[in-house]
Amino acid sequence: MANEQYITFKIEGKIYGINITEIIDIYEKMEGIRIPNAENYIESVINLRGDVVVLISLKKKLKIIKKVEENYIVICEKDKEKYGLLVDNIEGIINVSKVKEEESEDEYIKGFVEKDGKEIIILNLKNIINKN
Amino acid sequence: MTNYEELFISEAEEYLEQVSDSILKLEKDMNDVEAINSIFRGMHTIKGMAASMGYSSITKISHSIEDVMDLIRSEKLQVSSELVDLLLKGTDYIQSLVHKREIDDNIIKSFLKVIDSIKTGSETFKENNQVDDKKDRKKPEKLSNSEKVIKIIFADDVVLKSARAFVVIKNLQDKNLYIKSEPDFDSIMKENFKDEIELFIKDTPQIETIIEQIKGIPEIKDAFVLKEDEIKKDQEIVIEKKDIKVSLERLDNLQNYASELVIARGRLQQIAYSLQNEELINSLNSTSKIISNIQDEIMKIRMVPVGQVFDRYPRYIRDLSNRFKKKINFVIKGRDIELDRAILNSLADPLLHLLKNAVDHGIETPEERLKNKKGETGSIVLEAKRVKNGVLIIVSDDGKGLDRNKIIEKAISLNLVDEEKVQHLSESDIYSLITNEGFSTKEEVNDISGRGVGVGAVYNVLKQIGGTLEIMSQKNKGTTFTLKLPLTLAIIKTLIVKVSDETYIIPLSHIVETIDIRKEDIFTIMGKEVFILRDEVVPLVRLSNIFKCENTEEKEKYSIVLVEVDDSFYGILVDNFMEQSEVVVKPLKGILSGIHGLAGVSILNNGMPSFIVDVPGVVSMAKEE
Repeated sequence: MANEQYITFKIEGKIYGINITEIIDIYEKMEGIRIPNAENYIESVINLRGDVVVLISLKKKLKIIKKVEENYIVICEKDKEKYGLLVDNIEGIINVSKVKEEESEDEYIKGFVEKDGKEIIILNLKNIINKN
Repeated sequence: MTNYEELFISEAEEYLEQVSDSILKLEKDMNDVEAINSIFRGMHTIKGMAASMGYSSITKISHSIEDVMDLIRSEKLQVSSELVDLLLKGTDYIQSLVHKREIDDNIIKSFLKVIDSIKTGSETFKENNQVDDKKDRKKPEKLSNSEKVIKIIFADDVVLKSARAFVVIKNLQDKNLYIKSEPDFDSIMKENFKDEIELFIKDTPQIETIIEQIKGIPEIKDAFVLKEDEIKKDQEIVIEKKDIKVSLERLDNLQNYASELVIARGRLQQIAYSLQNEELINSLNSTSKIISNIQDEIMKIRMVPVGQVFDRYPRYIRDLSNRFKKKINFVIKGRDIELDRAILNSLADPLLHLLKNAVDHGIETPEERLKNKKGETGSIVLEAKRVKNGVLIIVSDDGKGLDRNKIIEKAISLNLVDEEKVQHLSESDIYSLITNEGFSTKEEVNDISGRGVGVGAVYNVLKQIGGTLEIMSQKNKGTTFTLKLPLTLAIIKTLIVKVSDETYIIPLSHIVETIDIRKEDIFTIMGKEVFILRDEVVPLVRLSNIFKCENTEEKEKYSIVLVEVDDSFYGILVDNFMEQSEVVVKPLKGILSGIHGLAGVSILNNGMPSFIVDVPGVVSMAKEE
C-alpha cells in the first residue's frame, strides 16, 4: 500500500493535515493589506516575492473560534494561483498508509487519520480554496 | 536642479558612455584610430559643455585628456595599458563631478600632474625626433593651396536667395571650378541658410573677375575671397544628430493623454451608436483609426534599444575581471533590440547581479581553465533576442557551471524539496531552486552553489514585470540564464491616496482634478452627501464607506479626487493624496476576481500590495447605498 505524506499543523489545539504534494512552501506570517468587500475568511493579500498572494483564515472558513494568533502561512496552489493558509503552528510531516475516508458532513474535511494516538483531520484543499 | 543642469547631466552621461566605450576598444586594439578620435571628440565636447556651465574641474580634466588624445592622434604618444587606466580614471572623476559628488582637490591635482608629465615626456620625445612635424599636424583642416573660399553675402530681404545662389554655383560649375559649398548644395536649394554662403572653388587666376561677376548679380550685397584664418576650423566636429532629446515627463504626459483619448473615444462611440447616425459613426471610425495609430506610436516611443543599458556593462566587467584576476572576453549581441523603457530600467540591476556572478563564480581563473583543457580566456555573452510575444535576454558564460548535487543537498537541508520529489524534478527545475530566498540570504551559498547571491532578487524583479527566468547549466561547460520578458507592460499613471489607515490607487485616466475641502463644505441632499464646485452640485463618494474601512474618524479637512464617469462629475473623498506614481497593474484572479470596487492590484514602492480602485464601480456602489 502506497505511503502518503502529510504536513501537519495546529489550529486552536487540534491537529490538521494537508497532503504534501499540495503544498509549495511554508512562511512565517507576514503583514498584508485588507481586501475591502471580500468574504470574511479572506484575511489579506501579501507580497510574496513579487506575487500577490491571498491569505485565507482557516479558522473563519472552518468556523473555529479564534483564541490565539496564527504564526505561519502554508502556501498552496490552485488553478496556478498561490494561496496562503493561516495556521497557528507547524507540527511536522507524517507518513500514513491510508486516510480513512469518512462520510463527513463538512465539505472542507476529507477524513481522519490516527498517528501516535492523536487524531489528525485531513483537509480538503479543493473545497477550501473556492469562491464561496 | 535647473533645466540646464539636467540637460548637462544627461548629455554628459551620453558622451561619457561613448568615451569609456571607446577607451575599452582602444585597450583591445591600441591602434584603433576611430576609438582615438571618438575619445578626443567626446572629451572636446564635454570640455565645452562644462566650460559653459562654469564647472572648472571637469573642464580641466577633460581638457587634459583631450590634449593626451591629440598627442596620440598625431602619433607623438603610444597607447599603453597604463595610459588606458589613466584615461578611465579621468572619466571616472568626470562622472563623479557631473553627479556633483565632491572629489578632493588634491586627487584632481595629482591626476593633472601625471597627465602633464606624460605630455611633457612626449614633447621632449618629439623635439628630439620630429622637429618640424608640429605645425602641419595642428591644422588638419588646412586648405590646400589650390583651393579658395568665396564668401557671398546677400542683401536683406532677398526673394529667392536660393535661385541667386544657384546661378553663381552653376556658373562656377560650368567653368569647372566649383568644389563644394557651406552649407551644402541641398541646404542652399532649400534656402536653409541665413544671408551668407561660402563656396569652395579651385584657385584660378581669374578669381578677381569671378568675384566681380558675382557682385554684378542683383541683390548680392558683397562677395570676397576669404583669408585663410577666416575659414571655419571646427568643421571636423560636426556630428549629425537625427534624434532629439525629449524629457521623460513630456513623454509620459503624452502617453497619458493618449490613453485618455482612447477612453474618450469609447464614450463617443457609445453615443454615436445610440444615435444611430451613420455619418457620425463613419467619421468616428476613421478618427478611431488615427487614435489607435497615435497610441501605437507613443508605445513605440517608450521602446528603447537594450544597448542603452547593456553598454554600461563592458566597463564593469573589465574592472571586475581585473579584480578577480580572470581573463574574460565579454560580448554583447542584439543591442538594437527594443524594450519598454520601464522594463529595461528595472533590469539594469538584475543583469548586473548575473554578470557579476558570472565573473566571480562562473568563469574560472586562467590556471584552472588550462587545467580543465579550456582556453585561458573565458567568455561571457549578453544577448537580446526577439521572440514571439516578447524578448529574451540571455546571460551565458563558459565557466565551471552550477554544481547540481550541491544544489540538491542544500535545497533538501533548507526543506525546499524532499528527497523523493527531487527525483521528479527536471534539470531546469533543479537549477531554479537557487532562486529561492533561502539560497540568496545565506553566506555559505557562494561556496556551495557557486551562485545564489542576487539570483533571488533577479527572480523577484522578473516576477514583478511579468517575466520568467530559466536556468540551464552543464558542468565544466557553463551556465545560461534566460530572462523572458513581455514587450510592454500594463503600466498606468496613478494617484496614490490614503483612506483611514489604508492605501489605494486611483488611475489618472479617470481624474479630472484634485481639490481640498473643509468639513463645512459637505452638504447632505436627499440623504446623499454632496459638495459645491463652481456652482455645480457634485455627489460625494466616501471611499471609507464604500470600502468599509475601520478606524475612520471625522476630520476637519478632506481631499477630493474629482472624477468623470458617464459624463457626470463625482468627488471621491479620501483623507490624503500621497503621490503620483506609475504602477504595474496585476489583474485580480481566482478568489479575488469579481470583488466590487476593485480593478486590480499592484505592488507599491514600499513593497506592500495596494488595490487599484475601479472608479465607475465605486460610483455606482455609492449610488446604490
